[in-house]
Amino acid sequence: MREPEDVDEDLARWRRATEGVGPRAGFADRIAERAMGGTGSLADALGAMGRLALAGGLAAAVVTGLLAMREARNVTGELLFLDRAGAMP
Amino acid sequence: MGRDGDDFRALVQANAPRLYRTALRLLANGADAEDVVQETFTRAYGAFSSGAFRGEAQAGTYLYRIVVNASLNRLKSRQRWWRWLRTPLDEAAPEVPVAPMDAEARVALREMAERLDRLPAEQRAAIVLTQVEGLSNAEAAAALGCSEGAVEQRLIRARAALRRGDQDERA
Repeated sequence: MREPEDVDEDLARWRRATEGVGPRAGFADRIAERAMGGTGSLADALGAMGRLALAGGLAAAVVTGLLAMREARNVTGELLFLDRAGAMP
Repeated sequence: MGRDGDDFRALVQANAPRLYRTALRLLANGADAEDVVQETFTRAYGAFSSGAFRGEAQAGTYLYRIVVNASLNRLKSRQRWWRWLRTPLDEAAPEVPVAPMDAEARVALREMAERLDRLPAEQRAAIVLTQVEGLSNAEAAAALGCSEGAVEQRLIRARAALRRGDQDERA
């Protein structure tokens, strides 16, 4: 069991050791840009380009899927029509 | 971004070092402290751009509360899931200019970080805010969003656990 004064001294040491500590140079500029939605670094720019490419790819996949569905529906419609036509006397 | 952008940059420049230090004292990890400060300003930008800040003092208090709560959440999640990844202050953030100290003091500091890390997040926040940051119990209660009585209870338990030293309070 440690004495209360030891705990006080530990906490005071923790305070002193962190007194002059600050973030790395340029940190404030970087986080201001990021918070405002800007692209603060090359990594950010590349990340944004990657997301754009992904979004473009997804959009293209959706359009292709819709076209394929439309085509399939047309084909199905034709088949149904032919079936119906075939059933007609 | 215009004038708003310049004003926001000035707000970040004026407050980031202080908020980073608070987060570092709570988390004892430079990388986590940077993440928390970034999260704080990202959340604050919406309020700033809508004109919710009417003065520097109001902005400072608002930002302080966000950084304390974000640090508390980070502590809880780290203690819950990532405790085994915990690294001491001087290993986790070698770029952080820790004040020069002799080997004995460095060991004592590391031991203190480990003792703090054994405390439940709320107790750790209460003791760091009052004993290290120098807030009154009422100010700490406001920052933590709890009653003054709750802060006093957490301080009593935290001090008892720190005196016991080697016992895990959450065990």
